[in-house]
Amino acid sequence: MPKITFIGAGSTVFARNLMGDILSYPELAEATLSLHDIDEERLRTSEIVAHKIAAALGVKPVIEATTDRQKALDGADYAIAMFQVGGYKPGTVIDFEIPKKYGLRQTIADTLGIGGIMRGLRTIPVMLEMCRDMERLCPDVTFLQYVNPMAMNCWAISRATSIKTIGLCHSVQGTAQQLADDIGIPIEEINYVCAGINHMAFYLTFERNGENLYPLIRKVIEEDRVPDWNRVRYEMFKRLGYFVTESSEHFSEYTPWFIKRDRPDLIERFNIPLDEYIRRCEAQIAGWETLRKAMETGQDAFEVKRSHEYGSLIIHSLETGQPRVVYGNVSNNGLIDNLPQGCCVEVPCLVDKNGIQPTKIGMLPPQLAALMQTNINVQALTVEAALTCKREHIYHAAMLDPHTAAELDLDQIWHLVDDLIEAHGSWLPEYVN
Amino acid sequence: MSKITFIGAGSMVFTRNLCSDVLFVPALQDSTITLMDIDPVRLEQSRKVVQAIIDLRGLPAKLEATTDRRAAIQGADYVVTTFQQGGLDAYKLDIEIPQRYGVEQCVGDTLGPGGVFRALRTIPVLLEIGQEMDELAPDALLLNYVNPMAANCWAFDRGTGRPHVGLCHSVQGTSEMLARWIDVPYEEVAYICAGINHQAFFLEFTRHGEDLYPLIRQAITRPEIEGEEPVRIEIMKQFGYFVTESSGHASEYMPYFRKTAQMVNDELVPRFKSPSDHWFDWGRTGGYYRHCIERQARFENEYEAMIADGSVVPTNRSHEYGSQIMEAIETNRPTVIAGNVPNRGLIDNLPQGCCVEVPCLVNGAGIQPTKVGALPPQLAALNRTNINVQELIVEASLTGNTEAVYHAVMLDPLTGAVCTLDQIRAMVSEMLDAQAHWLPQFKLNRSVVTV
Repeated sequence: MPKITFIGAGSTVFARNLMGDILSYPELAEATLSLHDIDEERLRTSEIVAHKIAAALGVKPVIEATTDRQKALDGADYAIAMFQVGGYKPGTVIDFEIPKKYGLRQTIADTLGIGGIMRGLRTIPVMLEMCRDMERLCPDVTFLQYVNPMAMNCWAISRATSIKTIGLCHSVQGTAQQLADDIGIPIEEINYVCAGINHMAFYLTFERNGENLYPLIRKVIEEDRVPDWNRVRYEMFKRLGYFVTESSEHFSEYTPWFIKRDRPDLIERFNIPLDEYIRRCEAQIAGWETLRKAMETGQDAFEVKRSHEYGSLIIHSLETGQPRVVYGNVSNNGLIDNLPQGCCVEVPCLVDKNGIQPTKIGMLPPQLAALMQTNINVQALTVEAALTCKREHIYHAAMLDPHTAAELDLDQIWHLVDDLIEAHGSWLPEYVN
Repeated sequence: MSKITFIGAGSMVFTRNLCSDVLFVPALQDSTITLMDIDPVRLEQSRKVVQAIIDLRGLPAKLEATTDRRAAIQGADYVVTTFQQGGLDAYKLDIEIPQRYGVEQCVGDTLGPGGVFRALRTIPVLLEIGQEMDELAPDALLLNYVNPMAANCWAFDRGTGRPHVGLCHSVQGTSEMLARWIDVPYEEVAYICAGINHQAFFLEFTRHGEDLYPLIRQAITRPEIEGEEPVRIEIMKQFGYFVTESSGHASEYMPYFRKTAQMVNDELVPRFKSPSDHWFDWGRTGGYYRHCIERQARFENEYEAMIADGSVVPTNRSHEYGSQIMEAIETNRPTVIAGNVPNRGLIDNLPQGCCVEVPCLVNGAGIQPTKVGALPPQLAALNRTNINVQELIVEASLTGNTEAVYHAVMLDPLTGAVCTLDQIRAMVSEMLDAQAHWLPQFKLNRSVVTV
């Protein structure tokens, strides 16, 4: 039975979903779940939840909880990362508040933009330390990486370590479900090929029994049925010819076209929720105590429902050989011809007992590749900064960020970066000039 | 409800097995199966056999048989090719003419002068089928079983650009054999196999991450194992990896094993000790040709009795990929196959566009090859000696340039090792003359096809 290590297991809701998914497979029901977090209290909650899931399913896994990361990783077959470095406070709040002083407004700030860059710079060093532990303690581990910024983190891991890694998100399956709802066709009847970079992958095909469903998606626009919360992505579909993954609120900050100083009309017209991530975090924190109590003491039978996360499917396929397709973020070793070699791409991957085997995509339509290149520029420079600790590359990353560059001049960008580095203090490693 | 068309359905045993597989799949049991062959007698034999499967299993599937290829292709979802252009008459020439020049082919269907001419006969038919699919079944997928796989698929890709996959059972068959040798349950074995058809290599062969090659290295020291696959074991010892396709085949893709008739009969044949190698006559020249003649005669004599007693109906699904592909596409349930597909960046150290055999994901989105990367350099080099011949076959077929046929045979590793250039020129000329009526492309010598 495999040993599965959860890093950042105090992300209780996410850990709960994955643990439930894993333990509902008979072949994995006696796995060892090793939970690790640096926050003892949250770790304890997740441990209680793990036992409740096992009891609800009537299965007998080995459940361990430890604040000692090396102990958790020792001999692991799978490691799953779901941690956050710097937390909501101070990390996220700084990433929103300081840019705002420069007039730079963001929605989510976890992928790209100045917030995504800083989040990447906080996360990558920790991620690499973990991988160094894995190289010593479990060199053959399969690392399922859920932490944002996905592309930057995975790219840094593949450049700097030997750990077999796949970056996972739910935006491909999530968006496919939303589109299926919009056109009123059951998702089970739909098949698609989607490819690109994380949070900016496009459905190259979207079909039912060989019938192209894009005309039905176009009808959603013609019939004025675009959901209010999804105006940005439908607009992009109109302009590019393909539908993008993730969400409208995310997408609005990956390009220079939607959040512009002196253009409040755009915010209104595209219904862009500025500071959305701040609101989500606040709501989650406010609800946490109640949720924690409910999860720890709830008398009701703990209902385990399968989530749509890929994690358990990958482990099950690797263990049993049942072939599955997942969308994985992997190194672009010739998978997408018109994106840079080695960058992190999101493509369909075959998973069976032979391992995680990315499928070859070839060329993307040129307008999609061009748009992704603008984001990959920022990722490349952030990774470069994190791996070399050269401060200049942080400025370069921010300078190349499409949204930041559209809003600020070069002096502003440099000052902004300086302010952020100072504010994050010891959450960042020492950078050399 | 799918329409599945078999072109060359008179290949009775193979048609029976593929149709039986298809009819085991719930999602395909209401399909229309259309059998097509140019030989009405053999077509009718196959029709009876497939009808017996449908009847015995009590299925709603509809069965049609026709000698009209266009009618068969009309509206098809899947076109499965299993024909043999020129049949055994042409095959006889493929073996006997080269033998007179000292080229001792055991199977002669993949490479060598026999493989070259089999491809030259086949490709014009495949291209016509592709054109008919463009017109009559524009969304259909071609599943090609016709050898020589690599040259045929490469030409089909260059000539038609249509979606296709080339299928063989050498990867599954070899992996099953290796698992048996080392006594590991097949379900527990994992492998990555890649290269070109009939010369793909098991790059990894593992159980729960444990490398099983050490066990294979042990197994091949046992005389009964060595006697089963002497050539492939020799290749593994020298090149480091185990190759797909049998020792009979493998011996003729390289210049080392069959340099003279005496070498074949006195040195190679005695190394074969297992009855299971009877189908290529333990490596003798023309072994597989003789097997085909016997098998056809036997089945034609016995099939009616087998229909009568029901033994013609298989009780298990075979390991052929054909039905697995259709099932995965129809149900969107993923499966993995070893498919022959165009090398668009799949194997970095083989030529772009050539036909490679790699693991492919199949689901509702179709056939999606996985990226393999670079092969170990000695394997890539060996593959490239075979790809040279394939490339020139494709060139000859698409341009109608007979010079390219001579070049193809000149570059064949076995032929080059045993013949002078003058002999090769005479041999190829003789074969071109003898097979002229199956080679329409060379009648239009000066009209160059643009692709």
